[in-house]
Amino acid sequence: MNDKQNNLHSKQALESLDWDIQPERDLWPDIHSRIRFAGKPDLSLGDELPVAEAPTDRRSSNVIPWAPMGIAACLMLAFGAFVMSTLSYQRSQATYELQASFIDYQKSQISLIEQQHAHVRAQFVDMLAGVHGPVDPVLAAEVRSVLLTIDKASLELKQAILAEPLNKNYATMLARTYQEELKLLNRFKTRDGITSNEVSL
Amino acid sequence: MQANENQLVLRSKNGDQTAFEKLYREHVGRIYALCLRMCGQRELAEDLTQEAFVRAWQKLGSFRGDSAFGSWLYRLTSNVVIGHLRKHAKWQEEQFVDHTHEKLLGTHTEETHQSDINKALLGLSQQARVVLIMYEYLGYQHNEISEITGMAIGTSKTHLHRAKAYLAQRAQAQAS
Repeated sequence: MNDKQNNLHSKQALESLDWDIQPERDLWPDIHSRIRFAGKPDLSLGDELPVAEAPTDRRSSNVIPWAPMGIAACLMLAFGAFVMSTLSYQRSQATYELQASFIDYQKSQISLIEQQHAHVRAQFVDMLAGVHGPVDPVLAAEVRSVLLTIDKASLELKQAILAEPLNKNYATMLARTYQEELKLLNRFKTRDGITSNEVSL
Repeated sequence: MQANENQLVLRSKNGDQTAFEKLYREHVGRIYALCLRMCGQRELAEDLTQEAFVRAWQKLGSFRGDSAFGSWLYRLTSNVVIGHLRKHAKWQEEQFVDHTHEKLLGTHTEETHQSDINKALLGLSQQARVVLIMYEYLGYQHNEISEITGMAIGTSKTHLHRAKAYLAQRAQAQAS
């Protein structure tokens, strides 16, 4: 074929492909959870907090101490199990089958950590939306900024895990990232002792 | 239809997430397909689609309506995909043939003809595939591709030439 034929062929080939494919899972819930606390598009984070609503249930305005502790325990357990499995894996002979099972196990651990993280994030979103009471706008803006950083970091880590599934460091870093968010949530809940200058990881 | 979309964009700009969900439902198929064709991996394409819509939400204020919302979203998505590929994936010069990924594109469910083109696309290097899609499908010029991808204009032209020749060669092989 000459160049002219090549041009025509490649154009026709691309055009004949299906360019409207629905993803296998609905991506909207994840997108929605990420944009919920981002406020209006293209507005400064500090200016557009939703107006705090009065709590509809008095219990919801109180901090429930066992909830974050339970989540922390689950995260620690998952993280501990992950580290243990990693250490035992390093001692054993690395065969293909072991690598495959390690990847599967790592996926299940990451999935567990992700579920726990979703609980933490949901609490954060509620607090930032003022469900549990009025929130200092400056502090909330700082927190939202940190959460955006966490989201960006966790996305990059998840992509790194996909690229190098046998590298245990990325999964460990992902678990730590979520633990930092949990710590931040606990500090935010008892925000008597926290100022906007302190909100950092 | 267009007026309705403009309304949705306007409402989204004002923070209406329900309107933005409608825009998402309307465009997700095309955005996901673009990500999938460019990166070649289903899971990664889902992540990039998510990232593109989050980025779109954040950048909606910069959409002035000079073009259709879909075109704006396409450009934004291609920037997101290329940004990712440059940082993480096999953004390499050499041509590689890695058919282990073919099943990830679900070719078994598609027409044989599409399947052959998919295989041919996956036989291209990541750079060549991206240049081909950007030039032939999205209508970018080489100087724009160079600006977005960071590769030299000459390199972009070379990738395009090789990609077209490779596709034609595969087509001939299939025919014979």
